[in-house]
Amino acid sequence: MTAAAASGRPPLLRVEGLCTGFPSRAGMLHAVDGVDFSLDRGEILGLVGESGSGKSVTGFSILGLVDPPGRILGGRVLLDGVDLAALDEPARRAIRGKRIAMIFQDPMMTLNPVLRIDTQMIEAVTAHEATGTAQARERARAALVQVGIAAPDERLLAYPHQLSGGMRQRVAIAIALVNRPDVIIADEPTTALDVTIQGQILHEMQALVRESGTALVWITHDLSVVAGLADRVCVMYAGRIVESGPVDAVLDAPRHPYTRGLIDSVPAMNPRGRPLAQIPGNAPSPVDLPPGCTFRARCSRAIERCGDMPPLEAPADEGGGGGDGTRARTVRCWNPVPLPAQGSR
Amino acid sequence: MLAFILRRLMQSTGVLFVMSLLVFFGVYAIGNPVDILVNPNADQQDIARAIAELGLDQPLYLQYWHFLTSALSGDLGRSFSTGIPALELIFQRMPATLELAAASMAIAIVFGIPLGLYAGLRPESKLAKGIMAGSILGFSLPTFWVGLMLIMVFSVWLGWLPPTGRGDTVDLFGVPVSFLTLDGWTHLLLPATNLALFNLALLIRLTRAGTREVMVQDYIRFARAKGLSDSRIIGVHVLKNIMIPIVTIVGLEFGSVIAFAVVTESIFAWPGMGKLLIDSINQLDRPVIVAYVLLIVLMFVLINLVVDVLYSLLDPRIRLADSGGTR
Repeated sequence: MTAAAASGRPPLLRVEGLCTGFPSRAGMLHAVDGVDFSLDRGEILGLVGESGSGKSVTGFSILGLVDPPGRILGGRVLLDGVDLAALDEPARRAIRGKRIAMIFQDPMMTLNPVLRIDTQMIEAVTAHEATGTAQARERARAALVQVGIAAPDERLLAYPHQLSGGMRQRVAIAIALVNRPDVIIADEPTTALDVTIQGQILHEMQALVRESGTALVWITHDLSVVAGLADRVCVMYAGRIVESGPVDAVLDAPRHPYTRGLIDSVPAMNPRGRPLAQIPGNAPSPVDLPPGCTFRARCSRAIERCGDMPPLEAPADEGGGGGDGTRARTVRCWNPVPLPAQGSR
Repeated sequence: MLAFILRRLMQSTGVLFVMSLLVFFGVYAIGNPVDILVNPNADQQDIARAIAELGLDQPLYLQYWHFLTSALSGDLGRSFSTGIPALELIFQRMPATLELAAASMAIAIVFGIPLGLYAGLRPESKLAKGIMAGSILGFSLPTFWVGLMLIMVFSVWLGWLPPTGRGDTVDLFGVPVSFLTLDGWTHLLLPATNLALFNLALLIRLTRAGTREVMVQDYIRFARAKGLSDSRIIGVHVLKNIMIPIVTIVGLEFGSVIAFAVVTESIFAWPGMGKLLIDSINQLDRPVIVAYVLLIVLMFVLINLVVDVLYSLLDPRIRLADSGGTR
């Protein structure tokens, strides 16, 4: 991936200063407020945050699927250097499902209950290509095999209610894969599933992405999923990215107090018997975000300077600067958590 | 499926039996048809002869028994006033009513579903609000008044459409129909519109509510994420999901429109079954009334059956009880 950056080729997907808002009686709610990241082929990016942090809206904004009256207020979404936000609706529709596919959270709700699986898969193919139904059906069948569904011919003739949750999510993944997209945006696709099924699907997704060179944006609130899956991670809080970097670096040595708090909230990472650490307070309401750092009110490391919004930049003690600002290790904090002492981990 | 249909048909014979009992005794309780039928100047002997001819001198339970036994062989009796078999009288009038009902349902469907879809997809637009306001009028204005207003405007003031009758008819498989002639169309348009208004309003509101409910579902967003065209999403994904309530209402309302077209038929002098029923009630013509009610009951039973079968075709999650399926 650094090779691609070094060669000067634009990244596959680049999000620049993305702002998405929902008008409300109390003014515009900025659900996503200046998000930047980039993604190369075969790369997996974890987008982590609490409910309401804007991670799902970021995903929908990339596809141009923000529910009205919400709309993209600014920024660019570049796919191979082409700004999707500037395209008209037919051009964007041609990209949706073809070059950028999406998988949703709840497999019980994403498949249309009154249409058979084959109908829903074949239409995904024929919406983008003038293929015959028989050929599209063959592609659908192959995609089902790819996601590990046994007896694909039988499943193609089934209705969604005849399949289990895990099976349905596999079908949704197969639909996303059927056009061999460049990017897949997965919005918490394993949250609603059993842990065992979750593990299987994570493993399969990772293999599929590696094998096909598809880039994957994995939106989740679950740090443990990101730890095993992603190459890089962006942590979102109140519509902004507060920390990003390679997954191991961020999880081993979080620099933003919020990331630190998130990691400490995972029970598995807590010594037995000690009360579970938690982040005090609640995420701020997007209606009236406090000025300056939005995490300040809940932060134990807040200093006077936090009244101003800190920039997202490389922490000074990790070499500062460097990279193009969207790939390097960055943190949005005036007073970052100090690096762990050498040898402590 | 077959077992389900057979069971339903057997249940319906019970319903038919009870209905015949109720109507038969009910009409008997209203009054004596002989008083109306017989010439006021007739003497006692003539009256007694008329009573005997109609079989009204026998005790009521025997009259019902005769009715029941002949009904089982398909004979529902002869009209007291004309002597023509009741079924024949009804079947003569039935094509006119069926045609009127079908035309009115067609108007309600062809306009109601698209308007409801539009109002559901663009709920904030002025046109959608106009459609919804109009649908309230469709519910609340009484049929007879709208009918009179239609005649007033289109027949009296503008002179575009004829106010009464069926116009020219053409035989289609031996059944006279109006909709194949231009003159028939002009006669059909006003009464069909009048009869359609209520159902039009109903379908608009039903389609709008269904559309709004379905549009926010995840599977619609997922369909968008697949890159499907709007026409595919609305025409397949949305429409198939909202079809179940629509099919129910269309089925039931089709029955109601046939059974209760009485007011519209009276206003537009449409020679259908509704007018026959009113005339028969006025004359206490019991065989015709009983036959009419039984036919209507049978029709409702059949329509409900068709609706149930359609459900299972529209929504794979619905399985007909006792269908003996394997899954």
